[in-house]
Amino acid sequence: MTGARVQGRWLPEMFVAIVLVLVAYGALITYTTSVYYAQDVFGNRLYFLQRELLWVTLGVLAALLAYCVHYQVVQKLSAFLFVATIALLVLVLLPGVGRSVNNAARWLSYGGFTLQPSEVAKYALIIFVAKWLSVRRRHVHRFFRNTVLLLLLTAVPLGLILKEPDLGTPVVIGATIVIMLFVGGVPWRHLLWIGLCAIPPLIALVWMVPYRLRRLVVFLNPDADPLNTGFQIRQSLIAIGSGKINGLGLGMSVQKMHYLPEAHTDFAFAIIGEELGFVGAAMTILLFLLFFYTMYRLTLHIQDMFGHLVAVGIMSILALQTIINIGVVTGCLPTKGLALPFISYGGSSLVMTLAACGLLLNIVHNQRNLRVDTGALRGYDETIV
Amino acid sequence: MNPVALHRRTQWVFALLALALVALLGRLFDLQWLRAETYQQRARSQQVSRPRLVARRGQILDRNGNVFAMSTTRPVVWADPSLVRDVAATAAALQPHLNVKPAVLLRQLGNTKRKFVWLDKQLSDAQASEVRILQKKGRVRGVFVDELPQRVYPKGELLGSVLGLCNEQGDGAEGIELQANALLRGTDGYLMAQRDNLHRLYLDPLFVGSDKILEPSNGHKIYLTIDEYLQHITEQELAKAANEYQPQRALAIVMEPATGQILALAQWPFFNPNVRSNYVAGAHKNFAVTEIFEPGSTMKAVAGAIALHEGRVTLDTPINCENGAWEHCPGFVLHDDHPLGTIPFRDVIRYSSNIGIAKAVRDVPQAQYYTYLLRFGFGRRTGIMLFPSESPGMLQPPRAWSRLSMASLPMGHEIGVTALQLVSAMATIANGGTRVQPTIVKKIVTARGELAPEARQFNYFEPVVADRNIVSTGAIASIVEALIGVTGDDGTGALAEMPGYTVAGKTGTAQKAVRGGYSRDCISSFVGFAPARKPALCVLVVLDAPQKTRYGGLVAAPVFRSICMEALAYLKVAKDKPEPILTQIAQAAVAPCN
Repeated sequence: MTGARVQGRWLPEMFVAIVLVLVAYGALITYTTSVYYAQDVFGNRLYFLQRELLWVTLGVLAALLAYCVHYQVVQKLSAFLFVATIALLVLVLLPGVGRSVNNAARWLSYGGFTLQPSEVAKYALIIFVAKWLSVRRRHVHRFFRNTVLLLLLTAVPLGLILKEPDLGTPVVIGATIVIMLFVGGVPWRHLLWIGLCAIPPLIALVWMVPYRLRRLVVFLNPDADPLNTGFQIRQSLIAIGSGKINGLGLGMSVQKMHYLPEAHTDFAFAIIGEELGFVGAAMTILLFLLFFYTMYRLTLHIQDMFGHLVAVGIMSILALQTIINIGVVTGCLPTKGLALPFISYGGSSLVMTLAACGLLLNIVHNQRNLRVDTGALRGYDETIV
Repeated sequence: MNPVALHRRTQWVFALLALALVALLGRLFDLQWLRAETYQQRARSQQVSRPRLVARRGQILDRNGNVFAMSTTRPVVWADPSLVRDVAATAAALQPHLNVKPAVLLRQLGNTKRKFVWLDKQLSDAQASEVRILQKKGRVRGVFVDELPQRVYPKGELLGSVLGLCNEQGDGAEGIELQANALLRGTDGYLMAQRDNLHRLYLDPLFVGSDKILEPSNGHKIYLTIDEYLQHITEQELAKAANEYQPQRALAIVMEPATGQILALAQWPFFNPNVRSNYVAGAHKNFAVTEIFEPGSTMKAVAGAIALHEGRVTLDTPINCENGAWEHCPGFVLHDDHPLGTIPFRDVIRYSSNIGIAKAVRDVPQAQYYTYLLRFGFGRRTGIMLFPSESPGMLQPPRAWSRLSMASLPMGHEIGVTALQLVSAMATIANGGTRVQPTIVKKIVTARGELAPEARQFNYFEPVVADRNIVSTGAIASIVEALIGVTGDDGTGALAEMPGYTVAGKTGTAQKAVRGGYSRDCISSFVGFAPARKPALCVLVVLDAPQKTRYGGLVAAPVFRSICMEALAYLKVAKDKPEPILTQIAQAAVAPCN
């Protein structure tokens, strides 16, 4: 272990550096993707950049807070966070309280600030599941009393998010929970059962909602409906493809001129592909890969089971969002409304992502102290010491 | 849980996630490297717009620069339904400002598969600015206002049938608009620019290179020889006669004999090219050059000039008019409407005797006579430019003639002429036996006012002499005297006489040839010039099938007189005969009362 620790001495600093690079890069991309739309709709080309910078500030504060409060406090509060999240999710569904954009009630708004409760739910659930698995680690083999019960509990907030309606976020959270179950020691065959059981409801959810089915059809045949549902993905592919190897140059995108809807949010990566080309897009993916690798290396240093699971959860959920977002934008997956971490414009997402990074550093930082006063820690497996 | 297992599982998770990211790199390679060309093509085809820069169509003006046809633009509203966010709301916002039924508007806007639908092509400038305000407010996303070229004829029906009109695309469809289309329309340019998905062009200075823009070159201006005032009075007088006699149609041409320039050309019923809905294809042809008719007695002026030139007669040669019936050749008896005895040749013209004129030209060889007719311009196109489908008329060569032809031709039968040929032949007499090519074009200049190089054949400034010395000046002088007699006190054209000017002219009343014979309807005409010995104007008036009365001397001659009096006064032509004292006194007496 000592060797690994020495080897990874600069890991936290490197992690912070990468996060800062990603934040700066995200702000730049937010500006270049939104400038045309902002000028047109708000008459201010800096409209989104200004708000993004405000969110960055808030995010950094949130990250500092998450870093400073000992994560065991968070651990203790996990049940409260879980309940609070459910309350928020119920609130957003109440007519007149939740704010709707494009027929989806996903936001709570108060005094000019908007909060997307599903972003909070992601991390609250990760914490809740990590706590559950670390506390009940001796029961992980019990299919019904452990795994199924946990899944039933988490199904409540997921169902509420689904009701907004939003299919992407529950899928990502669900997948993250499954990953955490796997890392937490739930046997393979249980996971297989869960996976099999998840398929019919997923199919039903797609089949029952016309636009989801349309998206699926369009995904299988992008030219089926070039002006409506297929428009976005078609325009996205045109943006990426026309960037070729070197791109049109930063700020030179044409597709952002109302061809590609939501160029500054979910489809920002397409504009990266157009402006920076294969070189820039590949570098972006490699930057993410480096980010996740650093996270992974940090995770390996976490001996505490709760901390370890939280770290795995954070890494998984961010990586899944990245993969699904880029997969959608490049036409590998059917259209989902998922943000690309750090890059897509969106306040709650950025603040929560930064807070999660702070929490991760908090956990890593406090391993040293753990090592000193061993023993009395709950959820820590004695065999490690 | 075993920490080694924990770590191994974490490794598995990371490996899978990393693998997925690397797989996306592969996808990027496919899109941006292997298939990049395809997507670049698609991008270009939607992002680059090459709008036409429409050349402004040239004006048509009269000889003094009064505008008869000009191009403006009119607003039109169209939509890109794929950009419309809320069809119902957009339709509701637009409805008050368009002339479209709500159902049609909803259907057009709801066409979400299309990128282009017309909403309204007939709206006013005020309505268009209302729509523009809605646009600025952002309430009608996907709705656009454009300007389309529009041809306007500020003078309404004045000269309408000659000008013709343009089709909806702005190309000439009829008349001069059609004939001179290539000169008028100019050359469109284009612009290559990037556009956003809301159809707005954006001109990146890097993008718009010198080869990316081609300025349009505007169409040429055509100055006609028409004089607006003369055209106006010609149409006015023609309309008066037409309203009184209800002919099928009527026509008047005012020509300057020395130059062949047409100063006015009126055709009734009139046609207003601004009202496209009134347009019936073919109904507004320029009859002056497309239709042929048998001219009747007006041809006696030409026949008389030939007989005089050939020395067969002089003005005073007595001719026996056989009391109205003469067997020209066995089996064919010629008649006069009014039986006459032996009279001098000048009175043959004066009273328009068919028998007399037939006798006067009887001995002219047929080939000779045919040549004279050709030289006067019959049986061939006058060569006037910018008139569509000019007819050469109908004149058979002598080998096709019958024994009767030398009697029929002098009295204007067995020959089909266009109105323009007839007025041109009379102008030839007025011009001392020199025939000049009729023209309606004064000059054609570029939009900047320089003489247009492509229109060189139009920009001659000397009259084009088609033929000269067709008959001797002596013969001309004699026939002019005879034609002055026509408008004398008891001549057939007495109603054409006017104070202050001597008038030479000839009446014509020809039964219309129809299948298998002649109908009861007549072509009534008068063609003449004034002042007779120094002609300034040559005028033809034709009424096709007038009701009430049919004699050219009664129907057409007064029109001739009214046009000439006003025109000569307008042109300030010197008077060549003293006005009757009585008239002067009457005018002096009336003047203070006005």
